[in-house]
Amino acid sequence: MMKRRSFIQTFAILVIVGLALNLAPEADSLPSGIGGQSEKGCICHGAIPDSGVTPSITGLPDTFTASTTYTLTVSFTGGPSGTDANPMNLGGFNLAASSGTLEAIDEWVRVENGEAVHNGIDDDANNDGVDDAVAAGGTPITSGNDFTSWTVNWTSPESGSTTFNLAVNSVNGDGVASADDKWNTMSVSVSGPSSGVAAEPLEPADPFVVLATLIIVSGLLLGIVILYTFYRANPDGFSWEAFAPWITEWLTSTDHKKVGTLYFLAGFFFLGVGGIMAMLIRVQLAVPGNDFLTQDQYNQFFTMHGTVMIFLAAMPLINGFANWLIPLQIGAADLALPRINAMSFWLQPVGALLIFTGIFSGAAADTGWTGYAPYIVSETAHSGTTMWVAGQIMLVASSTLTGINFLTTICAMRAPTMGWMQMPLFTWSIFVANLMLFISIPAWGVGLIQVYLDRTIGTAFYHVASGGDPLLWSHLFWYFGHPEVYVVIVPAFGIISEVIATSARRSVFGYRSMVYAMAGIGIVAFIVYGHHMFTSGMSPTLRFVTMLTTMLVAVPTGIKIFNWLKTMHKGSLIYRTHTLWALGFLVTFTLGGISGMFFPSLAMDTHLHETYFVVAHFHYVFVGGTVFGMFAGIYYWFPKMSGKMMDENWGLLHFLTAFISFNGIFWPMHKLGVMGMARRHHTWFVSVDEYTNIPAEMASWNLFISVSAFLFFFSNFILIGNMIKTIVSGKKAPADPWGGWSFEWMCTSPPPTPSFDPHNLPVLHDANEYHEEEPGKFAQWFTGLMVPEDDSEVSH
Amino acid sequence: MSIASATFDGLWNHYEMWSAIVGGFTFLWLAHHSLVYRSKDVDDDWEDIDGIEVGVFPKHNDDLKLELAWTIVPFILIVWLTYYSWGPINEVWASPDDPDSMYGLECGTEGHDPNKCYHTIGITAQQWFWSFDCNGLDADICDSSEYQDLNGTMVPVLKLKQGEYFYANLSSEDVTHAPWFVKFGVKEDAVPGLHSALWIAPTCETANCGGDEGESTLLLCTEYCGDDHAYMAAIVNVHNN
Repeated sequence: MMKRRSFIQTFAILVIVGLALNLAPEADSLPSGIGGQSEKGCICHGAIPDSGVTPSITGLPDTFTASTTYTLTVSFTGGPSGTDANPMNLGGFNLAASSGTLEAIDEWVRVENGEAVHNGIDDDANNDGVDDAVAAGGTPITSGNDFTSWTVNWTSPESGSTTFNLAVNSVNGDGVASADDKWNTMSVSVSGPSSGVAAEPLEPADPFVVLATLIIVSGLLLGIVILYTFYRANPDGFSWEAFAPWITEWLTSTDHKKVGTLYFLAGFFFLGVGGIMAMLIRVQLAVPGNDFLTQDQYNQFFTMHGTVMIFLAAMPLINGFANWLIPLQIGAADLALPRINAMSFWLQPVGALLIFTGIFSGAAADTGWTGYAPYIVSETAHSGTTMWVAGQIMLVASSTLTGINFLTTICAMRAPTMGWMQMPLFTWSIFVANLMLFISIPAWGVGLIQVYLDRTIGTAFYHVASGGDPLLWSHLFWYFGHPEVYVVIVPAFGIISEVIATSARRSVFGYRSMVYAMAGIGIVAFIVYGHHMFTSGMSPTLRFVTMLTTMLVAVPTGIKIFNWLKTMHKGSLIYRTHTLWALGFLVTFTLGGISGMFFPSLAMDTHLHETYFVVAHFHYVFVGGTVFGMFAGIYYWFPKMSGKMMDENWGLLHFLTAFISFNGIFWPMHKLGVMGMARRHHTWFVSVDEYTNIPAEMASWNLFISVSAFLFFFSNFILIGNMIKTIVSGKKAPADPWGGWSFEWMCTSPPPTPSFDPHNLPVLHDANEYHEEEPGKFAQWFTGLMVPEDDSEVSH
Repeated sequence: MSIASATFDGLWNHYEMWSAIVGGFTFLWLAHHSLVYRSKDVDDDWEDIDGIEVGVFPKHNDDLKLELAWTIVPFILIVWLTYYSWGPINEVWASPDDPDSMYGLECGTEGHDPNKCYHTIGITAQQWFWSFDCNGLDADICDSSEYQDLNGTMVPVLKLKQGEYFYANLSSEDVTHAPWFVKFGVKEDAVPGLHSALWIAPTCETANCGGDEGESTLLLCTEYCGDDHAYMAAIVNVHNN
């Protein structure tokens, strides 16, 4: 009966999700945006208002009397108007009243469609700076656009309130539309005497306020979770006096498990913050011509979204797994350098605060996460960029220390019986990832310091006018940036290898080729980065070489995918939530891998570069690969970490909703990119009579993507809910709930501290008949590089 | 799928075919194993195929022939795809001094072939405008004197004649920009202080090339350049008048 009920519930949820996904694209989006003359000033003066132009309306009463005529003076100050010696073509205005009647007083103003506008002609059509009528020997012509102030009559309505929208243009009078011409707008409301209860129209929400509110709410929720965790730690002996020591223990701990948990907390918090930014971006892009975000805000949000997701969410989450599992998997009591480990973590929130400094001041970095030069050192880049760079330098320091720590730990602290080729594949993945990071990130650190100096003390590494080289940044960034992509995906490979093998009750197929494939990816990562610069103007020879090497990435990646599939062969696949996520990973990562093969084909890349095809590809890799892999890891190891079993039904619901909505977001983006939707654009253009771009029928996909994005965002709260529910009331977990082989499953759930007794380290046995007791040639060479334990220099 | 240039379409269709083959093969394999090799056991009483035991490195499960097979076969495929992608590179990076390239020599220069020659134009980028220089070419071949409204912003119109080839020298006055001729499927960065260039082969989708009006499409900036990046656009009109 219970099974039948569960089936009906699952079926009903699927029907609802299916209906939602199918109905969403039916909604029509606006074909040409909502921009109009009254909102944007004269159509020829740019797309964004200029705060240097100040519009004003005088003559309005505080409270109007019914059916009374008021004379209003509309004017502006600022902008280029008036700088010309001849008072010609100074500017214009458009005044709209939501109720009542506007009426022109003199010939310089006319009323069209109920709105008052200046009545102007171009009296210097040949742009010679002389009034055409004067040039012809006559007297100067005066017209409405020769003023900066106009008067109109407004007759008030019987009741209610009236909102006035005023747009003004301030132009330089040269008669040519250019960026020098500015405009601005203002809005003011006046209530009538009989409309005392009339509601004031709501002001549009400031996206920064929305973001700040949501971050504060998230922080409060995090605080509540921490307090509740404190309470649950000892409900019977609850005492506020115990809170300070308890929290101090967490904040100063060097235990790898506690630092790992802190990494998880930080990672999930910023995953939420980055997700909120993604939602704001998707609201903006839901329909063409939208102005929910200004360009300025949009540019900051996509910059911070990328930065937060990669450096403050993905990296900490990976480090959370690595902190928790590496000592446990290799049979070590802790990491080699526990205090360095704690320092690595605490550099992250400090770096995050620096990165967010700009958000708090409303001028966050607006450079994109790639921060291309010379824009990043230009005056037009926001002031918050400097602190963004400073924060990133701290993250570089953090990652470098992390790399040292994990490499040292894996090299030196494996249980004596564990050879290199007996390490669990997750440990291998962390080893390869940290080696890549350790080798690549100094290049970026150098670039960041150069940018910081350019922006603060006036060096000229990237200032072109002073001989700087913008391409140097691209090289330094992508020498790090491409391996960084693999730094975040390779640990997911490790997780999937563990999960699939355990779920299928089989040894992973081709253990050695799995290790070599990861190492191969680690090596190839350093010789492919030029594919990010195919259209940069760099040497064609270098572009051609990286085209060849980029194609090579498919080989080790293919080996891994086929090995995972073969692992399932003749297995006994036990379906748990982590199994579903691992299978889901195989689908989405394969799709991401296939779309990645389109870019090295150079003549195709010249079209696809910087389009939504790229956005789709890297989200299939980052989210469909890294995040899905981490979801599998969370469901797999959460019982070990918390000592409680997660709810499988909630897990199933999380998988179904997130997997479907994820594909709903990113699959249509491939097509939109090919059709002409560029990334990092505040809006997008549909085909109209005057030109072709994205076909109008394709535009609905953007709305569909936005709806899917919200579904995906909220689906992940099921995971958070599941984790909290598990901690509070989950069933106690055994030491080895899934039947894994590696050392972490020998410990109790949760493991003790220290994780293993340093004087009684675990012993790894080998099920294979032939066990090579002596290390191989490579291992001998590597061991020879290390300082022997009985070396007299270190023994005193 | 006719989206951008014939070159793009050719590559796209070929890659799409191989994507379908590789994806189909992988997903069929995944679906088969996911369904066929489901555990028949109940709850935690599972069958251990390889006798996995905690604290014991599992027995090897490998097959050198198979592992070599899915190393070598994908390698052969990417060699083929590389070779297939090789040819069109000449269209992207042809030397302007190579008479044997598909664009020939510049029209009007010594030794040029009147049936296969190109015109040189200039594209200058600055925050957030495009400027086009037709280098004195006849207006029926290249014209950049007009402006048109694009969603509330006046943008320049670049009129090019169908069937002609253009070699565009790119320059930037401030930061890096990149003109993307959306329907021709080409883009290149305009980097300040660095010479870069772009081959343009204007084509039409309709047989009469939009009649008297010609066919208009967009030129967008595809290297992030600040506030008005999204609105730094131009209209490209192709005609055969």
